[in-house]
Amino acid sequence: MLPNAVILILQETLEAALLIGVLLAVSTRVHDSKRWLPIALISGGCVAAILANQMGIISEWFDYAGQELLNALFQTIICLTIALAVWLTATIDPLNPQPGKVAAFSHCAIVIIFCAVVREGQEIILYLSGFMYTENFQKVLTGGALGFSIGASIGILLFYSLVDHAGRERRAACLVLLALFAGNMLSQSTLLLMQIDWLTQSPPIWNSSTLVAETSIFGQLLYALVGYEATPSPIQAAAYILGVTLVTGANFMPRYYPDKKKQQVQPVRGNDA
Amino acid sequence: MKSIRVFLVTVILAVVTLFSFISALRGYETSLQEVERMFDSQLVEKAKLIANINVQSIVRNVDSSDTAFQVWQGGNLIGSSDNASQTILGKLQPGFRYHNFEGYRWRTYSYYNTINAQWIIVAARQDIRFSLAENIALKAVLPAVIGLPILAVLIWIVVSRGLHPMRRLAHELGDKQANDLSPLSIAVNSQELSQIVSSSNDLLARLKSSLLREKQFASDAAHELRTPISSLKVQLYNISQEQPERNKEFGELQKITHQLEHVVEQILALYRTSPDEYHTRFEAIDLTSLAQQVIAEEYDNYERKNQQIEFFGQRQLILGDKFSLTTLIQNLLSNANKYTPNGGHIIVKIKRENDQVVLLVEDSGPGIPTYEHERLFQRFYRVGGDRHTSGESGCGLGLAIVKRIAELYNAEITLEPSSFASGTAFTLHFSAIIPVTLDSKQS
Repeated sequence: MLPNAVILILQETLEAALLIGVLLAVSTRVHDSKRWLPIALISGGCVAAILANQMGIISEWFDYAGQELLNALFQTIICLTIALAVWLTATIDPLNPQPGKVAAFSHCAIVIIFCAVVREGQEIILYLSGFMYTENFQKVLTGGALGFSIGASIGILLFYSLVDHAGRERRAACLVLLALFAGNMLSQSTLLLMQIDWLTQSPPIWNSSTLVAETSIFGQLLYALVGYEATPSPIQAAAYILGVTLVTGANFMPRYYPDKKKQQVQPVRGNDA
Repeated sequence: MKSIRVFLVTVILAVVTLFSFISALRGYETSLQEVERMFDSQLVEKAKLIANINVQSIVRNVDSSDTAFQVWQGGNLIGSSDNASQTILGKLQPGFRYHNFEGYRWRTYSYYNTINAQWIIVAARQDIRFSLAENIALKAVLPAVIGLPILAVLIWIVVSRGLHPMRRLAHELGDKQANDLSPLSIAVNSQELSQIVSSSNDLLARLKSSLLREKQFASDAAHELRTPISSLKVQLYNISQEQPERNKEFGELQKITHQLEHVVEQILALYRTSPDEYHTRFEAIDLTSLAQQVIAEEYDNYERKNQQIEFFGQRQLILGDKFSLTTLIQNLLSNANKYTPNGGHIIVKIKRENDQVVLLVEDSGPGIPTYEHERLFQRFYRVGGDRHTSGESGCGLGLAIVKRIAELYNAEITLEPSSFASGTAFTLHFSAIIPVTLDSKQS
């Protein structure tokens, strides 16, 4: 019972913790106030509780495919918003951050963390509430605390290891992690769509479960970090590549299509009399 | 700004949590295996006990419903517990295995008694065994989970205690006035901080002597330059009178000389308004009439650029001295005049807000980006640096002088976008001395 609770809560927490860690590191680079974090966490937690409470009704939508569709929608939104956030950070000059773009980045961060917390939060609440009045509740709660703490600790260490690096290295590391995360989200959403037969199921391209089992802590870490799947289908792999390409493209686009306004020389005034 | 305390507490806690919880999980798995081994040895003991009893019939299970046994001899079931089935539980081969019956999964142990050639199979319900084992293993993990908040508080206290001398040092440095270059008086016991304090005191001493030298040099140089510049102006005037055909060249030379004189005057003004050299006795000054006077004196400059200057104000008295306040207003207005384009607008307002007199100078110039505000008042700093595109000459001292004078009056300076489409509004808040109700508007 306890290992199951650890694995499940760790899986959910790790994803959100890594995403928060990376976005915090990015926001430090663009001198953002980070006020988006409590806003996204509190609002996401509240909406997660409401959704978990109403999940019975939601799951009946679209011919009993409501829950999967909702989660797939959240994952797609996360992927697209990550791409938008990466594009914004690529256009922000860290030495002269434009307030409008920094505010837009904050809004993106709110959307990303809100969606992640709603998605992970409602699954945790549903899992824990299933054991609420059973003799196993203490074990599940202990397992949950272990899983949550391990996930949060990894997120904290990732954040500090990212902010400890110089601008260019940090930016590259954040970009890689966000690109892989976006690919993971899009890949997971296709898996959900396959589960409800909205996409055709096909045999996996490979099976690496003997090498790294998805249920092991290392497998969970890889899953949260790079979207590791032991048995991915071709559609999942394609979605993964699409997500990674989208974010990478968003990062490099401003180099080829620079902001025209930025190129104009603004008249300046001086401290002088 | 990163807090060292928050960083240390969170990182230490994260590392401790990660390693202690992963160890706890490993401990949990090991405990489970140990308890399972213990339960298995109990099954062995039970099997041996039953072999010694020599059961020959179906007996009531005296232990509980979670265990069952069978005794087989020559292929026949000769005895069993009342909850055991009539078929063989597992196999008639020695050792442990799993078997399903009665709707549960059972752990079985088969034991062959060579004395009377009997097979004794003892079974225990796996779900109950696992639950018991998990409860025992959980008790080993629980203290680590419950202890985490206590550990967090302890780490916070230890780190805070360790950083206390550093915080004291930071407070002492933070509380220092801008012009206070006296040595730090803090007593520290730690080796690392005593080095910092000693190095800071050395640095402060060197800075003080260096500033004094710089001040003295600038002041002396400016004084010494005044006389030759005045002579130069006179000589230039005389030569230009003698050679009227070269008026254009002399005009340029006169302009450059004027700029040179301006720089020297500004440097002198800057040091004349230093707190330690400022001994003038304050008197009641009408800021409104002073501002009107400065505008009138500088009116040609606005007319030259076709600028519209508006003045709104009422008589407002503050404690000060005429020279420094005139210099302050001159510099603010000159700044507005220079960076407001031809045909632009400048507004000067003097008004009362509670116990304060507010001086506002706003223009329709290009404006100043927010990130430049902090550096704007630094000496010799010009927005844009080498990329300064206004075309106006200047030495970058005007606003530094304004700030220095404002500090003398404890007046707060704020910079905001002006009420025009673009531009900057400088606002200064002085302490008022006499409430006045007379309103006037001049334009």
